Amino acid sequence: MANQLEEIFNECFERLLSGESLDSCLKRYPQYAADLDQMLRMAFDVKRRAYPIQPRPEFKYWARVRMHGVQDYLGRQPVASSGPSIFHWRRSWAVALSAMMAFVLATGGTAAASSQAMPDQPLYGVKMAVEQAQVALTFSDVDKAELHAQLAEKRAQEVAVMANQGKTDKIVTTMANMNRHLEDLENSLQKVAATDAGKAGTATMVAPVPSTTTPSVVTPPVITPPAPVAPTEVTPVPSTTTPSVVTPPVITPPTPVAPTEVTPPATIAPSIVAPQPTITPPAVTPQETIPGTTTTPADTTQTPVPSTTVVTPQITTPAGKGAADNATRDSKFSQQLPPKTVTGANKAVIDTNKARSINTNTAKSIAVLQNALQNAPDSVKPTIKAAIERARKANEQVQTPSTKSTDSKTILPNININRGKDNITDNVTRKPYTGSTPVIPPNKPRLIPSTDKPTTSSGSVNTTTRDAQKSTGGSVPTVLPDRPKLVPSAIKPSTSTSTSTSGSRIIQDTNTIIK
Amino acid sequence: MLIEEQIVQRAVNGDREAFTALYDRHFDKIYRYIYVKVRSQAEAEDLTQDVFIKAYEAIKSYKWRDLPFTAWLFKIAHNRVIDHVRKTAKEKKTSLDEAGAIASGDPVYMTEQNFEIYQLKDALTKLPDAQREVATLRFIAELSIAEVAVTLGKSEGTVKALQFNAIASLRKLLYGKING
Repeated sequence: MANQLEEIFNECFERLLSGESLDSCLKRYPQYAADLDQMLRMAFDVKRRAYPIQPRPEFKYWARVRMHGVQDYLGRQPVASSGPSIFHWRRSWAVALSAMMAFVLATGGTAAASSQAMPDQPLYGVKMAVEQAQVALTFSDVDKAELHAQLAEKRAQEVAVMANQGKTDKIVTTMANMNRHLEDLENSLQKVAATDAGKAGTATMVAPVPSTTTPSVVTPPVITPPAPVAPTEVTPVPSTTTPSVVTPPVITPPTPVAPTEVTPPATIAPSIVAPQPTITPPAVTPQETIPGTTTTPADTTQTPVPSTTVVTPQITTPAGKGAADNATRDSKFSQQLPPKTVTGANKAVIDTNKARSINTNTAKSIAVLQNALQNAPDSVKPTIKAAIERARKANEQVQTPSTKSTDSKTILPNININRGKDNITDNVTRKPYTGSTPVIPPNKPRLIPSTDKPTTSSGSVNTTTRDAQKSTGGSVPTVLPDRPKLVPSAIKPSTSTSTSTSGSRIIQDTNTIIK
Repeated sequence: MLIEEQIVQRAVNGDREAFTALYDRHFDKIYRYIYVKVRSQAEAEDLTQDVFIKAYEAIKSYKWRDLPFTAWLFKIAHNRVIDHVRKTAKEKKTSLDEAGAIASGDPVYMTEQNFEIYQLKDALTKLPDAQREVATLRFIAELSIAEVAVTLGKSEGTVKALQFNAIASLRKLLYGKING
């Protein structure tokens, strides 16, 4: 009964909306006519009362203007359509830029004051415009990446502030801005990676190896031995007989270093002293995963190892002749490579300082967003989490030349990021790095040419380093060039490996005072 | 409906004019829906703008098959209003002065209208949440039963029942009696 009345009421209401009269509707259901009459009149009374609620015309007009402004600001994406729209986009962009420039020139103070504006403040629009101009006036992909990383960090901090104040709408809009910066950052990094790949051909990873290490020591053993040694040695199973080439036993990481790294730091130091075949294993390991044929010795004897030896140079050698040959021969294998084996190929190799800057900014963004996550309303948490993931990915895309080099002192800055906020606090408090990077045994002979260089590359390149640079107004080597002479030799290894730079400084200072 | 779906698709593809068309089509309804849920005209105006900015930012990820556009838009408005109401819950309540939303030539007529709107808003606040939401979407924002159901995540049968009960309750609240 009740259900039926609800249905009839709804049906009659719809009929009345479509123009039917009340009487004709009531005649359809005479048994409910009395109830229906009252209810339908009430429903239309509610509609009548609400009808005069209309937005003010002036508000409607300005809201529309503002909407178009937002569309101008947000609609930066190139629409894949005809020329006129692109032209229109360019023209509007140019108009916006020139207007903004005039505005900045006219009110420089306002622009400066806006740098600290938050999304809920009136000057925030000015801040956005200034940043947009910065982006527009940055031409290099690397510089753009660095700028977008900085801007993304700013957005993250704004999100945190808005989360503390519970302003969900501002969080959402700011997150959208941040995502755009992260997207632009990824795009810039991909462009850098693409150009690097273009320059280096197949050997994209080691191209910018610094001169401190000797690439010739590392790569040659990989390329040269395969032809003569491979056929005979692959069939005999174990790696004990031939340490150099047989090491292939795929995953068995001969060195304690991460398998993705081309040449682990630990192996380098000895290699400088005496070039040994032990260097080859790390270079070979990545390929092992490619052809599954290596597992069966019978197969490998018949179709000798070339496949295994071939792929290696793609990853390790920068400009070896064998690399090119092998690459052409085994391009099919390289296509079969799972993405994991090509680690780093898609990464952008950037100047160390800029890469550090980008990594630091993205790391800060992640840390700030993680803090904001605690205070943010549930509705925006997924968005923030997605942004954190995106920042992580962007961070992993960045790669300094030193990270892929064989320099034993370098540690990936983005290790910090993967470990999240806690790691950053570790760095801030200058705790020694306890990651997976191998520490050179104290009894091993160690070259310490690093004393003439900033030792920041050894430990954690992080926010504190950046802060220190800021406070001193530039790039400050944490160990002054003349200081190392005062350091006792017993201390040197520890300073160059894992102890914090500030710790070494203190030790050096105390030594100076004592002397 | 098909036409609206096409317009929405164009807006999803980045056509700004299509989005503007959607904006024009739904602006008044969204404003009305928000107005009866907040305390002042200024709040309603701010929130209405926010809803459309949010919609524009999110339109690229919108898919019609998941949710009709109207329902999607009103969901944004609904969430935005909830956020706002939560934040301003401790502030003062609506006054009759603030209920004035319409400018008209005749002050007496305008006063009567404002009073009726004030009564309506007051009555709506006294309804259970579900009834209030259905009544607002159905009779003030003028959504269909199907759209209301999708917006609120309820079945059409439930929405019809809530609609009926809401009207009965409003009648009692506004006119003080159920029959006659």
